[in-house]
Amino acid sequence: MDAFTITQTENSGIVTLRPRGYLDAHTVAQFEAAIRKLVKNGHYKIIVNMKDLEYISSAGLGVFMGFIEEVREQNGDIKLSDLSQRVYKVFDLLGFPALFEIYEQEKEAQEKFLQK
Amino acid sequence: MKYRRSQLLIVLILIAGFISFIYDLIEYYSSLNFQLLSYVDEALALGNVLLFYLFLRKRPLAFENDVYKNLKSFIFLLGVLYVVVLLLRLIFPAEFTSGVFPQEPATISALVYSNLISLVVVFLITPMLLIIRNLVRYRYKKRTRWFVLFAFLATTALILYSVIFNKPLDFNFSHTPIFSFEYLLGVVAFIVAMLALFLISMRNSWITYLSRKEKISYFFLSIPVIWLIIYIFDFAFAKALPAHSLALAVFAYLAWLFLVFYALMSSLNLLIHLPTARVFERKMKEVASLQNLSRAISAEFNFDRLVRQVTDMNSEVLKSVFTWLEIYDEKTKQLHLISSSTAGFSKPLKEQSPLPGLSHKIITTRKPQVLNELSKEEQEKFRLLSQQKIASLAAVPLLGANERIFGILYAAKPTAFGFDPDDVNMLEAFANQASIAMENVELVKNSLKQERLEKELQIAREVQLRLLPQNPPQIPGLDMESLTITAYEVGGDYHDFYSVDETGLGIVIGDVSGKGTSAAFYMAEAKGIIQSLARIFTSPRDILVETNKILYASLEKKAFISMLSGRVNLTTGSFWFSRAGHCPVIQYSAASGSATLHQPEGIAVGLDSGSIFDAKLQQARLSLGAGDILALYTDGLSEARNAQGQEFGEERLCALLKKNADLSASDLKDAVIDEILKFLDGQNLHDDLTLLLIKIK
Repeated sequence: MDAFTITQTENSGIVTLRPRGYLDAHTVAQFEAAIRKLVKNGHYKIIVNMKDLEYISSAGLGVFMGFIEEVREQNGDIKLSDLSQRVYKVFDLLGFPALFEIYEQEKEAQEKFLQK
Repeated sequence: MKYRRSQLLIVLILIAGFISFIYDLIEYYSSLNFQLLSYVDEALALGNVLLFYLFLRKRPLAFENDVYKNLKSFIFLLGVLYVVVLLLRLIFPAEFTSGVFPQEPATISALVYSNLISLVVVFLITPMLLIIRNLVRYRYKKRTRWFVLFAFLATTALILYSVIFNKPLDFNFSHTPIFSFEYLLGVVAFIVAMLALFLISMRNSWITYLSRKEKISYFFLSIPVIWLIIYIFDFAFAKALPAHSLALAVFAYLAWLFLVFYALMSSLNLLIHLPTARVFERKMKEVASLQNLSRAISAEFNFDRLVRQVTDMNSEVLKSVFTWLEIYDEKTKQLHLISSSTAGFSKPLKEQSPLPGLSHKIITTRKPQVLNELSKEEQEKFRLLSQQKIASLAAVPLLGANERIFGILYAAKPTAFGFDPDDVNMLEAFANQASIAMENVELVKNSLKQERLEKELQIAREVQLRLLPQNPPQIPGLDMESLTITAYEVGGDYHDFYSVDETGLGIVIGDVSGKGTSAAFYMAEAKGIIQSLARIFTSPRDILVETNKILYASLEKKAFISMLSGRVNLTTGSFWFSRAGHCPVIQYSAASGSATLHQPEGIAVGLDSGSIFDAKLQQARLSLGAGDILALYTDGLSEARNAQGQEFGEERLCALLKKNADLSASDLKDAVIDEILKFLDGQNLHDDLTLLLIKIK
């Protein structure tokens, strides 16, 4: 199993995180720290591109819940894109599509942010 | 008793001395020579040495280990010898016949003098030899014992030679023909004695361990001492002793030679050691302080005290006026100054690294660095920091296992070019010890933390197991089984039954996000809430809506619970259920022989305060026929992964239900367990696994 990594890019004030590998109880702290750093530095427009994410556990989903309130209060959002079928299934089962905007492509999420 | 014995020994010595004296007196006046009696006289004289040895044998003097004390007593005895002999010479002017051997006392005063000198030999030379023995013993070597034995045998031979043949030990060609037996015996014994005594005199390793100052002062002291020892023989023994006893004279002569040898060799050795004394002294100190440090390490688990010890010892051994330790924080990549000590006192400093450039270089290269000459500005900086003049400094990294770097140890000196390669080596040795110590402290800390976590897990597991029903309730018309397999870390799976009667029962299954203690306690909370809500509400949807309202307020932001609540109604043959983000329900229909997944809308409990949750949550109704099977499970089952990373999945479960639909719930459960174990093939579950099987009879 490859190590869990996160790459980060920024485009017109919107930060994209690309987690790669397995996001479970062991790697969740790393992911949480990445988002916490963004929020602390005033980045509230966040896209999480899950193209390279192979697995996400319920703890991983908890990270989004931990920050979404604060981010939305600052007129920002956490949008999700490029979910694999396997990952989407977990989100869908728990009902996350009702709470988060999920896009097929990162570009759509970008456009959505820019519209506002 | 012991006291009386030693008294007795002294009395015996005096009696022997007296008898010897009487014998000498008779001989003197009668001018007769009784050969046999003279042997007795010799034996008495020599016996006195033995008696006094017995007297001294058990006394502290014979066991003294301390070099300084031994040398002090030796010089004291030497002084006493001179004073006593001088007094005796003043009181008893001695004249001896010349030309013949042995010389005879010419006057009665000389006779008394020679007798008293013999006693002086017994009382002073014997303890002096014992002192030398102590010094030789300071570090015993393998052959010393043999040398002593040879010296003893040769001495005995020489005594016999001198007494029997009435000869002095000067092996002069004029006295005897060269190839006579007696001459050869004497020469051989003499050479052996000399050789053995000389070899014993090489045993002066006590010198090695003296401090530099001691070595210098002892060397200068040794010069007059050698002179005094050499002069003893001519001054005191030369004529007086043989006149009294040949045996004692031989003994004294050899003892004197030995003392001369030993004094000379020691003095020479001191001289040889002088140039290396400084280095040796430092090495000794290094060894001692490293030892102290290792001892401190094994006992010290307080990090702050440990680093203080490191800096203090370092500044002492290296004679550094200012030593400090910076700890490297791997996360922030920064160095923090945590302990510093200036010569004499130490005070903690809370400032940043005074030399960021140098520190950075060490962190990247992991090699020691030496600054031989500090610039004026740097010197000023240190003067303010430490109140010391600092002109040169050395710094070494604290390296741990796996290329880890704990920090940097610095030492500074007031002179430029103050650090030689040896100093840097020493600093490195300290740094090594310090890293080991820090690693130890960390390991202990981690293992304590680990232990606490284990304990927490155990509590969580116990809580979880107590919350879960032991067995499903027994209801006519239903065949139910539950399966719970807990993962190593408590996963937060939960299930419960409520409102049980003959018409049916309520079922709830859930999975708390996260693991460990918090999961177990949220589970407990959920169980309480549902059990009380079940008394008020009958519809599964209502129960979940209310549960969400209550739990949303108390769950932490990132925690949520997937939950499914349902009610089996036997009178209407139906299963009403709502799914709050939980895994779907699988229904095996006996009529069609198919297994179907039912996943009505709904989001997990705790994600939303109510509006979205309520809007999304649907309630579904399934019709139940005889032989139908309902399977409720958690994602621990569907997401169980094998070594290849494949998931167990719902399809496998559906296939199992279809294949084993005729079995009782209990046998079906066993079949599922078998299948899971086969699938995992030795892999561990990473999450709890729960499966509820409900079969309609």
